[in-house]
This record gives sequence, C-alpha cells and structure tokens, in this order.
Amino acid sequence: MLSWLVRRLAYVIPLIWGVVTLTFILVSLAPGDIVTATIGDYPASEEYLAQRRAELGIDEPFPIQYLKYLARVVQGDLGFSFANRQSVLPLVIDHLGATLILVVAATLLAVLIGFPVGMWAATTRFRTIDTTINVLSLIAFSIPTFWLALMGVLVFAINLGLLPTQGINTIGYSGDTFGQAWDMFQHLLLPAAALAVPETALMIRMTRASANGVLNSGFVLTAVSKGLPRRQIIRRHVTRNSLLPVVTVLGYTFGTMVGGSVLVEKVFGWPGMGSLLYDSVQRRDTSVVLGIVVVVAVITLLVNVITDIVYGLVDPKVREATIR
Amino acid sequence: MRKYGRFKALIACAVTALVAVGCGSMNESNSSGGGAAAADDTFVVGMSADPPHLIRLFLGDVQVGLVGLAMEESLVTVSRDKKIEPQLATSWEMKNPTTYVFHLREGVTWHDGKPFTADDVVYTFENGLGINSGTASLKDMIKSSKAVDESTVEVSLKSPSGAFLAMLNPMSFTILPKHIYDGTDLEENPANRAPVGTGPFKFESWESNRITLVRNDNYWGDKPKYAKVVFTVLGDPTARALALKKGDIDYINSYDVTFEAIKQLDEDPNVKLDIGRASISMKMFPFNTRNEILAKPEVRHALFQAINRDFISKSVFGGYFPPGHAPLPDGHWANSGEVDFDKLYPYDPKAAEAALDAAGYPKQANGIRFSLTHRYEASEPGGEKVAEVIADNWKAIGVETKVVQDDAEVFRQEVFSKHNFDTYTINIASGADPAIGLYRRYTCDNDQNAVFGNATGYCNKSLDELFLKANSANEQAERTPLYTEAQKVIAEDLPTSILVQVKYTEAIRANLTGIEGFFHPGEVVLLDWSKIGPPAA
Repeated sequence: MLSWLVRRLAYVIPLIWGVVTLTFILVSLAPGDIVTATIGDYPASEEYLAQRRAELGIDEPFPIQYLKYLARVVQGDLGFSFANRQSVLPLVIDHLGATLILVVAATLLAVLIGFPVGMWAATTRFRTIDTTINVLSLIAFSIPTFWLALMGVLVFAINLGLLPTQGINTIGYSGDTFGQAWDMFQHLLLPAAALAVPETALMIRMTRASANGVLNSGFVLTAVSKGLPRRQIIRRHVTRNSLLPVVTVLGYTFGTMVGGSVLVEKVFGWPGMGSLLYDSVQRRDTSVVLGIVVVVAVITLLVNVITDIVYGLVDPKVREATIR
Repeated sequence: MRKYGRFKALIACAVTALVAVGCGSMNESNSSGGGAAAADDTFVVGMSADPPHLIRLFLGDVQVGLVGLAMEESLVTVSRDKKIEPQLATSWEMKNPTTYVFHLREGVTWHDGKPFTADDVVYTFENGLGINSGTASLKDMIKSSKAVDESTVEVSLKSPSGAFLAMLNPMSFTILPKHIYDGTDLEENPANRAPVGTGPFKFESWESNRITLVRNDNYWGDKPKYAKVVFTVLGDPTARALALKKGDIDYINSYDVTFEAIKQLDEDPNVKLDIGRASISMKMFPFNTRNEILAKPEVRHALFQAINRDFISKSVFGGYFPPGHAPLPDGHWANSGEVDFDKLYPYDPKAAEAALDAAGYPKQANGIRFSLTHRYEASEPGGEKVAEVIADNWKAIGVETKVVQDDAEVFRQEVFSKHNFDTYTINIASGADPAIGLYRRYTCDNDQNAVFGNATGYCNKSLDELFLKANSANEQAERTPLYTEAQKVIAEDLPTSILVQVKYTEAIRANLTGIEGFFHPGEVVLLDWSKIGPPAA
C-alpha cells in the first residue's frame, strides 16, 4: 500500500513540472507585461518603462527567467506579486479557503442531487421520466454558468428578495458562531448552486449511463434469475458498481470547477482564487497567475490520488491490482 | 414489484432541504434583516476590481484613488468650481516665479497620532515622486524643497510653471508619513496596504476583497457622518448594478458604472444616477498622418465631416454623452467656447465627397476611393458600435473601413509603439490640467509620451510653443486665451478629432442624504465624505 502510494505520488512531480512549464510559456506569450498594464493612461518614457522592468527583474531573457522561477518553485517559493506587493503563496492561500468552500459545496450539491436522480433515470420503469431527466440535464449542462448566476441573482435576490446578491457574508454582521455560519450559508447558496448546475447534469448523465451498463451485466442477470427482489439487486449490486465512474468524474470535475469558479466568483464578488486569477491576468501579474496554476494543479493531482484510493476501497478488483 | 422509494426519498430530501433553506432565509430577512444590507452607520461602495495597494502617490489607479483618498491628503485640492484650494497647506505664496512657500495646517496628526510636519512634505517631494509615471513630470519640475520651520515648506522649481499647483492636487500627489517610510523600500512598505494618512477615514482592515475604513475622530476638517465605509469588489458590471438595486451596496463610482449599467439602473426609483456632471473625458478620434492620404489636412477635415456625431451621441450613447465640440470639453475653464466643431465641420457627406474629389481621391470603378484601418480596444465602452457607425458613414462617401478590435495590450503596442493604424478611438481624460492632459496628445515630443501620447505622427512646433507658454503662465485668465489659440490650431490641422464627450455617471442609493455635496463635479474619485449620510429617519 505504502509503496504504491509513493509511486503514485512520484507521478505527480513530472506532471506539476509540465503544468508549470506550459503555463509559464503561455503567460510569457501574452502581449504586454505588468509595467505596461499598471502604467495607466499617463505618459511614460521608454527609459522609465525599461527602468521599471529592470527593477522587477522582468527584463531578463526568457530561459533565465524560467530557470530562476523553477528553482524558486522547488524551494516552495512561488515568487512575489508586483501588483499586490505581497508574496504569492500567502496571497493564494488567503484566497484558497473561499474557493474551496464554494467548490466543495457545489460538489456536495452535484453528488447529492445528481447521483440519486441519475439512478432514478436508469432504473425507472417509466420511459417519460427517463427522457425528461435526460433532456433537462442536457439543457442544464449547456446553460452558461455566467448567465445562470446572473439569473439566480435576478430571481432569488432581486425579485424574491430571499438571498443576498454578493459577498461571502453580510458586511458588519456580528452574531454568534451559528449566526455567522448561517449568514455565510445564505451567501453561499446562490454561487454554489450556479456552479453546481452543470456538474449535477454531468453527474446525472454519468450515473445513468453507468447504471445502465451495470443493469445489463451478467451478475445482475444472475441475481434476477436467482429470484432476488429488484430493490435488493439495485441496492446491493447496481448502486455500488455504478459508483465507480462517478468517483472518477468527481476527481476530474474538481479541476474544472475551480476553473468555473472564476466566473461565478466574479458575479458574486466571492473573495476566492477565481477573482484573484482574473485580476492578475488583467494586470499581467505573472507570478500570481503561475502561483494559482501551481496550487490548483497540486490540489487537483492530490484529489486524483485520493480518488484512486477511494476507487480501490469501492472496487475490490482495483484494490487487488494496485495495492499489494 | 415496488419502485425504488429509496432514491425518491433522497431526491425528496434534497429538494426539501433547498426549499427549506429558501424559506428560512425569507423569514430571516423579514425579521432581522439577515442577508440584507449592512448596518446603518456603514457605507458600502461596490468596486470593479481590487486595488493592488492604497497609496495614491504610487499609482494613478481608480480604485487606489477611491479608497486611498479617503485616507490620504495633499497640500492642496481642487474645489467644486475647479479652483485650487487649501488642504494640508492653509495658504501659499510665490516668493518669485520659481519659488513657492507653503504654510501648513497646524495641529494635524497622522492616524497613528504622530504630528504632521514640514518634514513629511519635504520627505515626500524628495523620495515619493516618480514611482508613479504620473508624478514623473512633477519630479522633473522641482529643483529642491526645504523645511523653513515646522509648518513652512519652500519649493523651488527649475522654471516657472502655471500647472505646478494643479499637479499637487490629491489626484496625483499625496503626502507620505516620513516616520513610517523613512529608510524603507517605499514600494514594499507594508503601510501601502494599510495606509497611515491624515484624512477623514482611518484604515481598519483588508480581508480578501473587502476593505474597511473607520471614521478618524481627530480629523482636522468636517468629520464624516458614517462611522465606517466598506469597499467591496464586485467584478461583473451587471452583478454590481443588481447589488445596488437590492441595496446590498450603497454606491458605485462613475468609473465603475458602465454604459449598460446606466440603462439598467435608469428606471429604478431606489437608485439615483448623477449624469449631469461636467465631462473631463473625451472620446478622441486621431488620424495617422504617416499615411500619405491622411497627411493632407483637407482629407482629415472631409473624413471628420462625414461622421454623424449627433447620431453616435444619440444612438450609441442614448443621448447621455454629447457630441464633442472642441479639443477641450464644454465648460472647461481653459475652453472659451470659440472653437466649435459643429460650426467648423458640420455633418455633411456631400461636402465631404466634394472635398475628397478635390483632394485627388475620386471614386474608382468599384465606388471606393481608398480604404483605412480603424482600431479600438475591446473594453472601450461603445467602441464597437462607434466603429460600426464610422464604417457605415465612410462607406457612404466611398471610403472603405477595415475595423480591428484589440486586446488592451495589443492595442497599446499596435497604436502607440508600432503606429499600425489609420484611425482609432480612445477615451482620454483631460487630466488635472491641460498641461498634462491636452499637451501629451498633440506634442512633437513623443519620446516623453510613449504610452497614451500622440501617436498620430503630427508635429507642429508653433503649437508646442503655445502649449509651453500656456503651461508656464500662472493665472487661468492668462492661460485661457493661449489654450484657445492652441485649440484653434488643433481644429484647423485636426490631427485628432473628438467624437463625443464622455460624461461620468455616479450611481447611488436615492434615499441617502447629502448626495449633491458628496460628488466632485470634475474629479471623479475626489469625494466629500463629510456630506454623505444615512437616510433621514
């Protein structure tokens, strides 16, 4: 088990290196830099721009900048944000918490709604229910999150007045711990729901397809011919086996959800990494963009490792093959 | 066989949970106001982006100004009628044309309790200039500064300048506390994100996208009515407007009110839009005189004359932004109103066609005289629609237009470095003084103006001389005629024309008190915090 885990983690390092290198190249290819981006509409001479670039160490040739960056990342130093005048790592970690709350809440929503609905669609005897769920999830998957978020604000915050429009909590709210948690929960609901809608749809479709496959497999046929009650077959054989692809998708969607949270965070003024990433791209604050990519890559890869472990727990076949 | 009640139960559970939460929050907001706006003594401002830090002296960024200038002050400020008036200096005199003596306000303390003295002012002049490119010209202007005593500062200039005092206004210049910054790396000082100033508000906290300031009870001037002001970031313009509609935020600064938001908020009785303020920004429309066709002034006249500015004003900007009449905005102190594009170049496609024929560019067999490339930056408000109108108007007179939309950085490179354009649009503020805002757009001295300067290739030495004369004159009464002359030259040569005057629009909750006095008519981030107050009980 331990050696398997070590081997699995060893794969993570070249992957992170690849992600860092690719992002570094891409960010360098973007026109402009932090100096031109922060100069605003004031007149500035080329000498002034050159002097600023030298001060920030961004006048060096590309390979040197790249190697220096790699050397620092290895030491756990993600660099300095020139725009925020702060080290990148604490800056990113500061914003990470809010994003994690959002993404975990959305994942929970997606699983709690998506899995049962998907199972229902796969096992129902009524074709209309199956088709309705299928079509609805296709629509839900296709709606742009951005638009959905704005509609959510319009309907639930403005027209119905049920939920707040923005932020992670009420400004100046002072209550006991429970009050504050409830306050944050209210603020969390709309952004989490907006982020969860496409993921839920994906979950429904994955679960349905996976359960359909399982329903047609030999051991289900055996169980049916043994005369087991259908309810028991579904619970004992189908549900558990249908979970496998779902777990895989969960690990995979985590990364896309962090990406999707950029827009949702922007609409709801949610103080997470998405907002930070957006502003940093605008300001050409390269080290922050890279820092966020590195942190997200590490988290996504770790989630994938965890997914593999869970996979083993769920499926004895996988456990046998990988964990010796 | 029974159906699978278990899954249905799960779904039912999930749905019930969602509904319950919805109902719960409704009860909450009805009873205790949970999820609604902040407390009555707190003023909430919605901003489009997080500022990188809060020191106005170091960055001419809108958000830095909005938050920073609630805490930081300069020697002088600009009054509502655009005159220089005292702030931390109570009075000043000119010993001779190049020497200014400032008498500082006594008894003023920094937010940390230390006294504000002449040393702080001298320290700022000597160390704080040039970090922001906006203060580079001020740095070049000053020969030396010294503290005569605790509350008197003497500043010597290299040459006389009528723009000096205007350049000291807090839009570009604020005083740093010497005891915090002395001996440190100014740009890395932690106080940049937790400023110590002398202004009406004190810094309290900065938690991710929320900055909280509290009232400075020792403020030397009129104290704010609000005990707290919170600046929060809402990046999406529509979401920002919706939050104002709901009352989750109280105010959006005009820089952050997009044109789309104006339409969205216009009908809402709970929101007051303040559109009627003097414009300081112009949608400029420069020609590239390096193009041999555009090198001829008569061609530039004709092309400008063929554009229906009235239509742009009405259809693209809903009539909110009036057409441009002169290089300077209507009502600007340096604009005497003698130059009027409506009289010089009224919309007249026929006259334009005749002029182009006369200039030697008749329509060819395919009906086209020549073609031009027009660029605009993607985020420019109305840029795309304005480009459509221009292309359409020019098509009518046989000029083909290739329209190119650029990302901000590409735009800067293509236009200001490579001069790869025939025409472009840009919103440019005339700045604290025409010596800054107007001069840079027309001067021959392009090395000084690499970014957002004069990209047209136009150079007129006598115009430069006029500008320099106007710049060094000391009284507005002396300067206005000189700027009128300069405007006449520009209108005649027309290297750059003006399409519309961009009016800034404040959006604020209508039930607040003191809204009128809160806003500054010219400088959009200069706010009078002593005026704005909670709704009357």
